[in-house]
Amino acid sequence: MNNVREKILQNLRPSSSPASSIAPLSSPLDASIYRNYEPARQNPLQTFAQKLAALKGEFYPVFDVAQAAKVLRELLNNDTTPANKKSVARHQHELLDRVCAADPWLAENAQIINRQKISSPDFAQFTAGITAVDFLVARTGSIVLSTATAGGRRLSVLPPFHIAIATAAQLVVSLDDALKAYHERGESKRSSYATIITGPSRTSDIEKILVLGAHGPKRLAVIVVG
Amino acid sequence: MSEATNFISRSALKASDETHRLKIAKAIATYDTAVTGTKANQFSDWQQARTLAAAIKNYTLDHLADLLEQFEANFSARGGKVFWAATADEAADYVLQLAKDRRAKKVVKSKSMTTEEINLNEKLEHAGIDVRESDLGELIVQLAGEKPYHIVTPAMHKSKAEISALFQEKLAAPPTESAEELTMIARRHLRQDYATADIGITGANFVIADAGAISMTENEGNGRLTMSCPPIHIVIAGFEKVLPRLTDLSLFLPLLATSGTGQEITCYNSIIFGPRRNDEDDGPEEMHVILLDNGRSQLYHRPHFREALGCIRCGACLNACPVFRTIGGHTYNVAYQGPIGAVISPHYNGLPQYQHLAFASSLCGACSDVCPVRIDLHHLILENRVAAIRQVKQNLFWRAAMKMFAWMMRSRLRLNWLRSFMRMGQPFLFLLGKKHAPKLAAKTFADLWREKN
Repeated sequence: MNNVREKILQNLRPSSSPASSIAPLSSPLDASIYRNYEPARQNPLQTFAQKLAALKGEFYPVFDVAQAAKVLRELLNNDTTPANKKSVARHQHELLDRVCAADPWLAENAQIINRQKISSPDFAQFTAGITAVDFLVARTGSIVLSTATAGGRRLSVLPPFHIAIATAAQLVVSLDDALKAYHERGESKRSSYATIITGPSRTSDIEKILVLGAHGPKRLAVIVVG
Repeated sequence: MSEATNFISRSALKASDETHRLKIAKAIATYDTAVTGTKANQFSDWQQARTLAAAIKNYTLDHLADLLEQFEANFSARGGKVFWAATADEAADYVLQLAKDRRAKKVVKSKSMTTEEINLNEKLEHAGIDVRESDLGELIVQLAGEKPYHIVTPAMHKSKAEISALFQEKLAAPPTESAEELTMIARRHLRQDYATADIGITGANFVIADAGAISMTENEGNGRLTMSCPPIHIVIAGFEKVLPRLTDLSLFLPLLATSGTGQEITCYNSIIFGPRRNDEDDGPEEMHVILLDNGRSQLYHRPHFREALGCIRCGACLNACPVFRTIGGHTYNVAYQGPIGAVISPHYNGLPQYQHLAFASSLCGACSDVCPVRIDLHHLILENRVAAIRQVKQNLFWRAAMKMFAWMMRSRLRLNWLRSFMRMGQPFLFLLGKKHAPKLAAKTFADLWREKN
């Protein structure tokens, strides 16, 4: 502890009790503020699909893991990367295991990266990363990932194509729901890192012109089972 | 020459630069269209959202010490390190020492205005460390050897053609007029840097007390790579960035995106709780958060100015400001431009040197109208003006003229006399300056009133 710390804190501590005693605002915050909250509440999956499409993300609803495997394989096959350069990575996760087990090609080719200490230059060779998610947020069309459910920090950001596989049960209405649920998991069940992803990577830094795929994935596909 | 005199000559130059004016007008028009649409589509009541945000920020500022301690306790428990820096130099020295201890040769950075505030890049480069800016706009200004033009859009002043010329010169890139190809050149150029950097440095948009976490907003993904690949992650944040609860982000992330770029929410909003855990496959082994004062305590205790610490750095006040649009971001010569810069820069850089920024405002109030956390910017600018005038010793002529003016204005008779004097002098007004003076009416209101009654 440096004494700068004490000095700063001492300086910021009010001499009397704080003037504003309004409690921080109560939840659910989102219902009262957002115009698009109510449509999202009434029809979450449809709202999620519309939002994601508007952000140039791809949405694939499927009935079961077998169909998810079929969609996943097509996505990987039709990817514009030359066949000899294709390199697909995924992590170990109950849902991903079931999907990949449903297709022999996936079982063989989707490389499991857990516990491998892959260096970042090697990691950069992957052309697609397959992850699970923590939540799908209907109102904003976002997916929420954490290190535990996304196979670390890099898998969902370094490969140019990110495919997320989720179940319909993971859908929540608003950001508030997702953040609250994540926080309430408690210390031991929270990862060191979580991220809210809303569409593929983008930038408007040059003349405010929208370009997809700045430094993160150029494509984002979300497969929702159930 | 003083900074104030330089400021005036730079302003005069930019104000008459039509190419500059057109580029900025175009960028801000695109921004305005997006923001108007998003406010209407996303919020049922934008004004209410602003009020809520201001209330949360006020609560935060009233409990600042407690919330910072809460953050520190929660974050440290996971092995994160918190360093408190009283000055810009203390913050930069901490980074330099760490780089030296870990024998770091290369640093990759995502966009952070706080690092601009403490001049971190210059200090790192001076110590022989290779610094790579990874945000596209930041990369462009770094390659051009310039400072960021705007806190949110660092390369707002550069056209595609200028950027292409820059990339041809510095990166040996082929010429192109396409924004997409230019972005891909930057992507390829930086790809290896994330993998080979020894340290990743980012800013923080919010520091979350109850979760002991850092929240970082971006669109490109360079920030995520910066906090995922290198073995050390350093965050530099002003201590006022704190928010009480993780769930407050469900208001502040959409608010920041709406005011910052006109998006409902930005592409990536990362929440970092600490360094890599033992059961995790990747992530930095070390994470340091530097909480910076650098004049903020002074701002905190100055009457009325505390609310300026609620700023979320969305840049809306810059885009709304007629002075910013005319003189451009570089003219301010500070890390934070525009109205918010005029309010806080004198405190961060020392009042005697930057008091002139308080005069770079028409006091029209457009900044206060757009501020998503309801900071009363134009009144604070006025307060800075008053302080500036009180501090400076006025010259004798000016003081005598002001005394004379006050004496004239205090009596009706003298005011009438002044009026007739002014009418006589009016044909010669053009001698005083470039402005075209409007004609005084033939009869005053008082004259008309007397005639009618």
